[in-house]
Amino acid sequence: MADLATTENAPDAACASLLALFRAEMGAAVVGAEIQRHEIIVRVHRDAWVEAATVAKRKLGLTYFCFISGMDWLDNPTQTSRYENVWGSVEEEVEGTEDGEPTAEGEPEAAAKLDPAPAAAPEAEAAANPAPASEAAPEPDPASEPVGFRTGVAGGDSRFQVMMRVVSPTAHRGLTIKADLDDTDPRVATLSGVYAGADWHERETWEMFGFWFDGHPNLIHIYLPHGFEGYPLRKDFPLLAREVKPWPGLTNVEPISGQAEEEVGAT
Amino acid sequence: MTSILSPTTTAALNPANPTELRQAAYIAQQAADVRVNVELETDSGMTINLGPQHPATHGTLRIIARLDGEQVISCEPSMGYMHRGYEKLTEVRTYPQITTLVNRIDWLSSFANEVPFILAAEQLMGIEAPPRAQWLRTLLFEMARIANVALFLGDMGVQLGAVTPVFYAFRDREHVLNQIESATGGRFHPNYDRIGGLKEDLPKGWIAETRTVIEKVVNFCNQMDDLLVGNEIFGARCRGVGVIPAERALDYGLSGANARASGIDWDLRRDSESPLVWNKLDWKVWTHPDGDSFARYWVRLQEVRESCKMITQLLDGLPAGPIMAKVPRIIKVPAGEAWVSTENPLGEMGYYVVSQGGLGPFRVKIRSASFNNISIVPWVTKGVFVPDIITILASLYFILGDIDR
Repeated sequence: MADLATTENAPDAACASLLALFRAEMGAAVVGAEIQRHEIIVRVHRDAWVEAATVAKRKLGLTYFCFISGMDWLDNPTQTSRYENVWGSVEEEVEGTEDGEPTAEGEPEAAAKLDPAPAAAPEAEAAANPAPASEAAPEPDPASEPVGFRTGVAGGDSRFQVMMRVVSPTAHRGLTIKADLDDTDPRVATLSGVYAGADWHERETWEMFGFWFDGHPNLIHIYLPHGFEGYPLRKDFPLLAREVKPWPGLTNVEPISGQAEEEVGAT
Repeated sequence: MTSILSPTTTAALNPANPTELRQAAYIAQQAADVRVNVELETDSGMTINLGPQHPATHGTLRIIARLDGEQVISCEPSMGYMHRGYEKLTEVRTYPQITTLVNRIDWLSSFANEVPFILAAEQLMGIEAPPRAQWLRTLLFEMARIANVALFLGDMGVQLGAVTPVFYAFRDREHVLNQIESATGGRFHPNYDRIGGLKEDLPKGWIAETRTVIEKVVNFCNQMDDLLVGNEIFGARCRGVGVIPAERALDYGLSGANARASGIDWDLRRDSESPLVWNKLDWKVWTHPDGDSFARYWVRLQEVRESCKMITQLLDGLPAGPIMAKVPRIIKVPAGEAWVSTENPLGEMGYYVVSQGGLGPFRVKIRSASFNNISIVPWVTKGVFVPDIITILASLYFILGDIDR
């Protein structure tokens, strides 16, 4: 068993040298790179997508193909990642649905009309403990906010990103490679000539995100029925179950009276 | 009429391989005896359909095989009968709610699915579970592995026509499931892992009971050794069937026992920085150079034995202390991205979790082992005989929930 100091430091050095090798091979095609917690995430230009895979496999020994997938960075207000706190989010939803209606002035009335049974409890809670209400108030209305996106680690300039992960089975180091794709016509060259396993992953990414893989031998549906319309993992694809009825799971959490939710248990 | 052993197929045969020649001679003899399958020998060959309800598919996988005589020209799996859209569903749930979903990916070892997701969330939050929780996680992870792979060890026999082993497998797997149930409350879907620790501590007497169960599992492994590994028919059906060279395996992303059966000495339990305690135990990573169906069976059999060794050590060294770290009551994960993968019974299972703050993840990419493991099927079944499709599918060992997610 190695002591803690070496296990903490050694992998980062290995990551840095691997990244340096990758940069030396790829040159200006590397648009962004970051090392976090023993993981390397690099972003390359989409024209260098196949070259990046070839370099990774043939020059850097990253022969194990892990996955290909996509990212849609579009902001979607119905996602739980937008919810900052449980009670605020519920109120936000009630307001959000009422905003478009002309009868939005009578807030307690509207709330009571929508959901008469639980409305009493938050009212009493808010009276006893004004913290959740005041937190919810400055929250911007999701409907009026401009639709935008913020991208993740290693940056990004576009809404769509394609990503892959390849690993070295001998050095046990992985590399996550991302590439920005065009917003209106997401398109990138196929990797199925480099990694044979990319075939199915690209089919999945195509059907879930609508990314086109040029040169793919057999770009057909893999999970969904043939003729399925839309790309389900795009953020603007509605999840029907949530459209019909808000998720009851979010309201299950009851706040502890006299304490702000986040601070409970934290030191 | 073309002969079954047309010039193209005989040219594909390897004269140095006696098995292949024997099989070809067998087919030629059959064809000479019975001339009824002549009308099926069209230019485009014959198409047979396995599934979606074939027992060899462990769920609802459909295999469409085009044949030339008894040889497979092309074989295309068709999935999606069980696609549940977990990647989309994770986006509308909070972090603690997602363990319920990921439980159902590989349903034979549910606890093992929870661990990498929880580890990814913990990594983003910067918290670490106390030592006892990590030891218990490792313990239950290995028990989930036994519950999963023990079924494979018996099931492989059933697929090849030996019905007895599966009864032993179900019998001894039951003991393991009972232990999982008494610790977690759930036989199949424990939902026991929490961000920062575990749901609750072990019940009284659990450790002693588990020791007796492990003895039974070790016995079971020995029985399988006698019943199948030493069995001549089993060997004839498995040896040399579905050979996957190491480079091919890596190219398709095969992981776990499938990769180790091709001689790739790589196990994430040993070779990755995991907060779980595999590195503190004494165990061995088994590999097999052959890369055939027999090697895959043999490697898995050894892995169950190693798991038994690990569990004994884990029970001996289980530290005392709390099982839950201090975590906020409402779990909010700071923005960031984390990739955590573990060596699950089926192979590498990983989650790429993207958080933008808030109560739920922005996106979760679920990398499940079976999807990659089964993607090699079109390649590896090319040119094999029809019964070998079953052998190959059985030995690659997949769970439909793990393919379809």
